[in-house]
This record gives sequence, structure tokens and C-alpha cells, in this order.
Amino acid sequence: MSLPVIDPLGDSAVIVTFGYDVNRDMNELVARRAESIRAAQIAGVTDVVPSYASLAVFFNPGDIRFEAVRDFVWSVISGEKETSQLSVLAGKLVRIATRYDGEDLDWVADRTGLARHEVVEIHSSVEYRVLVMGFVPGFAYLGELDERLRLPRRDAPRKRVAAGSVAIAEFQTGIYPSSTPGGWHLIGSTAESMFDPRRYPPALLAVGDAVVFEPL
Amino acid sequence: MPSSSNRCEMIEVTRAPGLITVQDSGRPGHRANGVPHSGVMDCVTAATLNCMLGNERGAAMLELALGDARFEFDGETVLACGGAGANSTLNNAPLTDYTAYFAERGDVLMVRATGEARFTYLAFAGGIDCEQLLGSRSTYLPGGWGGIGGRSLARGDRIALQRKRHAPPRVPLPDALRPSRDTRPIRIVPRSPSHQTTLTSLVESSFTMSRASDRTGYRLDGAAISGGASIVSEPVCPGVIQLPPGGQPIVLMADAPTIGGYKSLGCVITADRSMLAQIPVGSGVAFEIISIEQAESARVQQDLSLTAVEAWFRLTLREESSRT
Repeated sequence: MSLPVIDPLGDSAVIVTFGYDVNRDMNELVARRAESIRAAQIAGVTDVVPSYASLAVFFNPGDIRFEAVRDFVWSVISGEKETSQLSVLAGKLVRIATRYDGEDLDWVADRTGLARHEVVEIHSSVEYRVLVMGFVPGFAYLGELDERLRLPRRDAPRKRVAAGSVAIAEFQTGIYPSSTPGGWHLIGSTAESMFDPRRYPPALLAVGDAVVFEPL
Repeated sequence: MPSSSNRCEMIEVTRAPGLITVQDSGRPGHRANGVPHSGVMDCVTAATLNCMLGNERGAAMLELALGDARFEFDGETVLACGGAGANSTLNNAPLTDYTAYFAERGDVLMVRATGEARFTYLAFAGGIDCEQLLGSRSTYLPGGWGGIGGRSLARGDRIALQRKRHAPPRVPLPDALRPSRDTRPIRIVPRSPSHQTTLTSLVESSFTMSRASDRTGYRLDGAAISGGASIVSEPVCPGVIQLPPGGQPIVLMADAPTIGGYKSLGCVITADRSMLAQIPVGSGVAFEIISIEQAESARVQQDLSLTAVEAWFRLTLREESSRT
């Protein structure tokens, strides 16, 4: 199959699939394309949503027709150069002051065969990138986690994870913006407000931002 | 921000056993931050009520599910209800759907769920006034914000209304202008030609609405469909039909997250989302595939029906005012 592929996502969005796996180059390409589509400011388009290897463009069907959006998105995508030639995506650097006091920290150390302080050192030594926003408002999927810390998600998600919890699962880490159910391993916490609907912008992080955890 | 000069607290909730939330036409424009669309589940009923009261189509109203609710009025209000076919009364006199009623200080409104459908809407002339967050007054329950206190209304809550511009007509909305309550397959636009086989199984199967369904998503019970899978998360939206590995489809609804990690087969067309939203637990659900062009026509048709209600409002108002 030749990629990218444009499909309808119902009658008020189109979805563009660039690939089927997760890697940094792909993710960056998607973020760049999303930025280009946004920058074109097409009337009637309400949202441009990048994910790992796909993006969606939502529109108000009262203002613009599906076909017009599809053609427009296609012209933006096909008119651009390959990922290797793209400049690095602009994003801000956000430092998250973190207390490594998560209730799963001992368990993570045990399962990875590391000492607690090594888990902290490894987790806080990487500059992460916001790969995708989603799950709940303001939740940033951060990658990539050091290979030594990679563990599958919990078999049974917790019914309630406190807001501000710093957690890891598989190749990613993240911060719960609000109290929600959650299946990741809790290694720390932060007092930083990740999402506030009364603030502009409401989410602290956006796709393309760099994130560093600073141990307290 | 609520404009204090244009609002007054008018309604007190005196019993609220079910789920009662403030909802409007939703919160587009913030999906990249992970903010769901939210808003009314049955937009056709909600918009019809708003149009017949002379409100903006997307004005905020109450969405009620389950249980019997009771309200007391502090001042003059015009209201109308519709949707789930509730047995509602104003001072013990039965109310007819899609009819504007005048309530005044001390009046008592009861809304009793009948179970025929899921959501009843209670709209007020002027619309509900509460804090707008990210451009909407809709309650987002999973996040605990929006609407009034970010939660389902409770006894003692007070609801403020925006000042109305004019009193709506007192005659019922003609039947021909009301949303139809027909039951037919839910129309969907396919997500990808590569899922054709799985999609064919979906439309050839029949399902019943699962108890495990809420404003975030509706699960469907029935024989498992093969072809379900976990995938690399991709953007999703209300209406998307996901097929997890277990083979029981999930239709995403108003409060659904912005990305999803299950294979998506297609998306319920805008024009049929309200009908789907009102299918009660245990009732049958079937799907039909249509083209994007047919989906667009259906949406335009729905839009015209609302334009007709707006025209009715203006005409009836003019007739009433010329008589007085």
C-alpha cells in the first residue's frame, strides 16, 4: 500500500494515515504536516489533530465540503518534502519539578532489576518529546523512555490515579492532568498544573514540546 | 464569562436523582489539547427546542437521563421539553413535548423518565447562562469541569438564564416540524476500504444496546465480529465505531477521547448520531453503509428542518403580536 492514505472519518473529518508503527521520525513528520495544514488556515476547519502515525482534520460541514477538505489536505501533504529535509519542529522546553515518590517505584525497581535511585536517574536524564496529546485533556504521551525502564501496562488499571502523578508504561512516560482511571506505573508526582480550562493555552504541553523531569 | 447584567438566577433544582447536566452544541477547536467535543447527545432534539424558543441553535440547556427530577422557579421563565418522551408536569398539569410553557415564581416542574428513550431535554427561552470554558457551557463529567460545577446537578443547585429577547409562541410546534422518532439502521461512512470484510460483518449483524454505555461511548452486545484489533492510536471522534480484539463494537459518543487505540471501522453520520444516542439499553441496533455524498445530503436535510423551525418561530411570533 502506498502511503499516506486519506480516508473519511465520518462526514466532518478526514484522517490521513502515514504509517502503522511508532517511531520518532514518523511522529515528527506527522506533527510537521499538522502544522502546515493549520498554517494554511482554511475556512471551516476547526481542528487539526496529530497522532503517532496519522492525523485528522475536522471541519464544520456547514462551511466546507468533505471533498474540498480532502483535496486541500492532499495538496498540502503532497507538496512537501520528505521528513529528513524538514527542519526540527519548534517547541518549547518544559521542566517538570518531580518528587519521585510514586507508589510503584519499588515495584518498578524490582521488575527492572535497578535500584530506586537508578530508576530516578534514568527517568530524569532523558529529554522527552511530546509525541501525542490525548486520553484526557492535557495528557501528553512523552517518548521515548529508556529501554531499561520499559514495562508493560498494569493488567488491571487503577480506578483512580491522582492528578499530577508521573507514570511510565512501555516506551512512554506521562503526567496525569486530572484524577482518572489509569494503567501506568506510578513513579512520582508533580505540583505542576498540566491542564486548566480557565488558562490560555489550557494545556501546559503541546505536540513537539521537549520535557525534562527534575528530581526534587 | 457570565454577563451579570443579563442574567438572573431563576430555577432551583429540588430533586435530582439521575444524571442532569448543562450541555450546549459542544466544544470544537481544542481537540489537539485532548479536549473532547462534549455537548448534547441528541443534537436534533436540542436544536429543535432552541429554534422553537427563538434561541441560538446551540444554546445551553439541561440534558436529563434516568430518574425523576423536580425544579422550582423563582421568576418568569419560558420553557419547552422534548426527547425521551418524559411524563412531565408543571404544577401537576401534564406538559406536551415541543410546546412552550410560561412558568412563574413558585411554579414546580417535574420531569419523569419513561424509558422510551435515554435523554430528555429541558430548554429555556434565552438559554442557560453559566461560565463558558473553552468556548462552551457543556459539562465535561470525566474532567469535572464545565456546566455548573463540572458535575451532574444536585438538589439545591441554582440555574441562571440569559435574558430572553422575546417570548416564544405559545402554540405547539407542528408535528411535521418535530424530529421523527422512526427506527431504522444507523447510517455509517466506512473508515477504510481495507476493512471491507469486517465492515460487511458489522452491517450483517444485529446488536443490542449494552448496559455499559454512557456519554463517552455505547457498547453493543451481539455475536463477536472477527477482525478487531488494537492499533497504534489514531485520532477519533464521536460516531466512530471501534472494534476491539474481543469483537464487541463500541460507538464513541460526545465525551469520547480525541485519540483511540482500537481498529475503527467507520463513523456514524452526523445526521444519525441523535437517533443512536436515544436508543435505550436492550433495544436493537443495526447499521447501514452509505457514501459520503449521501451523508452530506442527510446533514443538509437535517439543517433544513431546523431552518423550517426557525421560520415557524418568526411567523408564529408575528401572527401572535399582530393579534394583540
